[in-house]
Amino acid sequence: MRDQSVLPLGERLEVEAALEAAFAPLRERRTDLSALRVRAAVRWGRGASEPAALRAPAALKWSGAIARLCELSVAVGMSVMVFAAANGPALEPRTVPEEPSVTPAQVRVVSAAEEREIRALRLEWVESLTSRLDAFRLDRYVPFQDWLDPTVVRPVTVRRLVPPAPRTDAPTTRTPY
Amino acid sequence: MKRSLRGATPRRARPAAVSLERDARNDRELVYAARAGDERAFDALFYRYRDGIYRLSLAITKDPPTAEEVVVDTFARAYRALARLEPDDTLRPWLYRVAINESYDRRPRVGATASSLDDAAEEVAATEERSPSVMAEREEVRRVVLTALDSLDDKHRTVVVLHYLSELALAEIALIVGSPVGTVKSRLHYALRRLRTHLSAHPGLAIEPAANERAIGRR
Repeated sequence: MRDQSVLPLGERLEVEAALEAAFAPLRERRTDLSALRVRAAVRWGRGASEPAALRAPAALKWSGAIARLCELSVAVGMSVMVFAAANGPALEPRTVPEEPSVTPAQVRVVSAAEEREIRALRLEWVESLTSRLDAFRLDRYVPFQDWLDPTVVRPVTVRRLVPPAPRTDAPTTRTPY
Repeated sequence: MKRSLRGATPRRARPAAVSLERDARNDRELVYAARAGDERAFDALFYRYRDGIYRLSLAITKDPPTAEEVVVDTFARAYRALARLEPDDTLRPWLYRVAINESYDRRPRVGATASSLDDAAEEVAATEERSPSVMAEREEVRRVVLTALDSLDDKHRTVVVLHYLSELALAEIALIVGSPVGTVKSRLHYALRRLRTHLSAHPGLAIEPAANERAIGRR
């Protein structure tokens, strides 16, 4: 039970003196807060209306909701795809066609003489036409693939780089032409 | 001298603040003027009660930055409530009530230290030419008293702080805490008795237990 008896004056004064001494340093404390800080708190603090300069444009009012909706639809779509793939029928393994990609009907066996003719018609005439310009060409820094281009590189160099031509006496050379 | 004397003496207020602080109008007139759009009237109210609220909050929170926040928030609330405020003569009870609530909301729950009060004691000691032993003794007394004050519950501590630090009359304290004057007296009496019991346990203070406690002890 709380003691409600009166504290004698002498005892009370002793406590009050101790309190006075304890609070003395605190009474000296001052602050140099400015009223401007209060105005700033009023204008920018809780419950204050947001300044027009910082307010989002009206066009962006629904952008957040639309963005969330898009995210949600993507999430739903991905989830459906994953579940459908996991629970749906398994795909049949891809079968390798038994027939060769190039059928004998598309291949014609040419003779060595015919092949020489083909090479002469399709390759050597280019070299013969461009060889006259070889003296004017420069050895340029080009990609390696271009070194095979006779219009770019001297035929001598091409000859050095291109693998040797197949033997002319090979009767079984196949060509799609 | 190595120690900085910044704050050892009360800081000199700015001239504008001084002129506003000395505004002759009472609080009621200032509130009505501020309500009519006179910002200088509100500033005058601010500079009139700024330091008192700061000290009150500092005694509760024990942290100067927090106490400054309390001052700002208290006056920000007052500014927003200007239209509703109807002060009779003084705005002080309303402001102090808000400040006390804000302070207790921000007070550290556990492990609070009286560092700010220690700083204040050092500042005062720097201005006094006393022997180190006297200063140490005063500091010890102050520390014991503040520790005893912290042992009180909020409603008793509030009454003690308002009466002995803010030097408010019991009637005004009653307005602040929203209780009858008799209740305030009772709380103050109980707090002093508890404080005396705490202080008497400390031999360096030479405070004896209350008379009725001594009687109980003899029996």
